[in-house]
Amino acid sequence: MNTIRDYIEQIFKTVPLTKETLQLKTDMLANMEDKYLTLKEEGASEHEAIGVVIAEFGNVDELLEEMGIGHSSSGDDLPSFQVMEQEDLSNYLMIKGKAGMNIGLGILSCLTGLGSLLLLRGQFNLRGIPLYAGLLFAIVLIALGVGLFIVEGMRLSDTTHYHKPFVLRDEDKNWLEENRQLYKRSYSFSIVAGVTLCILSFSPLFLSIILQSPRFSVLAGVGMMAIMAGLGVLFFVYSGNYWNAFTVLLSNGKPMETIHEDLMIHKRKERAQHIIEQIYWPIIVIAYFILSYVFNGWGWTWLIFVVGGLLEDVIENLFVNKRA
Amino acid sequence: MISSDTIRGYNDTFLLSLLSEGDSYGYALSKEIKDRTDGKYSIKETTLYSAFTRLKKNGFIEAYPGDETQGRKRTYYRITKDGIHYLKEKQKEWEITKIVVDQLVGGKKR
Repeated sequence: MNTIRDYIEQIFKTVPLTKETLQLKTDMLANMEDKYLTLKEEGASEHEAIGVVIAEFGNVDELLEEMGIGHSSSGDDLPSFQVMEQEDLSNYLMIKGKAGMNIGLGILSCLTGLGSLLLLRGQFNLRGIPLYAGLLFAIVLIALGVGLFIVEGMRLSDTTHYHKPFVLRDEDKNWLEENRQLYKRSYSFSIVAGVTLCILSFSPLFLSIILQSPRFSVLAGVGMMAIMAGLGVLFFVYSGNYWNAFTVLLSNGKPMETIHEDLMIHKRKERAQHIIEQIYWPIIVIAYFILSYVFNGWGWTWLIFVVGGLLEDVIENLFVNKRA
Repeated sequence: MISSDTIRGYNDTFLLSLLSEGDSYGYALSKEIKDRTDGKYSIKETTLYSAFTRLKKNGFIEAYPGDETQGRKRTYYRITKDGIHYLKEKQKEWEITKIVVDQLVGGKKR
């Protein structure tokens, strides 16, 4: 089945996307899939069925000529789009889940390194060689954490094609929504667990302050807090990333009918964001300094950032909706 | 199997003829053609849609989105009055063509 889709995708790659050609593509694909299924029902092998379907496709030039369109020599002005199937979707979910877990573990590792050092120093008053050993241990853990950030950051940067509109078929969309629903409980649980751990993480610190006991130093309290908070963050980061993956997929997955339009909107949005980042905010920062110097208004000029923040959305929407 | 060259001029008429029996969509039409001819002729996908385009342009058929079947929205086609008129002419023409071709190619000598 995928072979047929790929085939059609390939054929239509150089065909200008219009409502007409998109409909044609959808119709032809439906026909070919029907034909394929019929052949399979009649006992043809996968290989044979695909062979027949593709052999009976014909010559696309004949059709394009009839429709009065040629292949566009460059597809530059027309954004190409991707069709994400269940396999691609679960792949992204897996990457995000793994990244969430590893980044969470990275944070935990950093905080544990730091925390255990404080704990050891505070509690056992390490000096000399044992202190250096502890320090080394902490550095190793922190390095491990940072290493995890880098690895996962790079892996995530390979997933950019999921972050712009793609075609999501109805059945796959339903599949995603079902799975999100299934995950919802674990997600809520993780958030609750994360929040609880983060709140509880203050307790060793408070305890050490209240007790004022030499047997439990404040430094040790901070160390324990760091480790517990790290655990809490692990819950947040992992479940948050996984949950976010569903959101990304569902918001970028578009039906075939509107994909072209969605991609144009996305392009405009990207441009708007680019302008906002590169021009808008620098201007605001400059204005802030000028206003502050000229009117000596350091007390109130910071409000420009608040106004700037509020206007950002307005400006972005202007860019996106205009020429739609 | 017959060469598509021979039959090219008739694809439009085939479709009009089938559509005159009732509205239909792409795959059903191409399957009908294959079935009725016992697999002796199968219309190519692109030929089918070239014909649809041509027939639409000439106002012989109209396309409309059909209801969803098996999770797919299909484009249905219906024959127009002009289409019926054209089909009738073509049928008459075929009667003559049949005779002519048979007389010249059929191997019968007068």
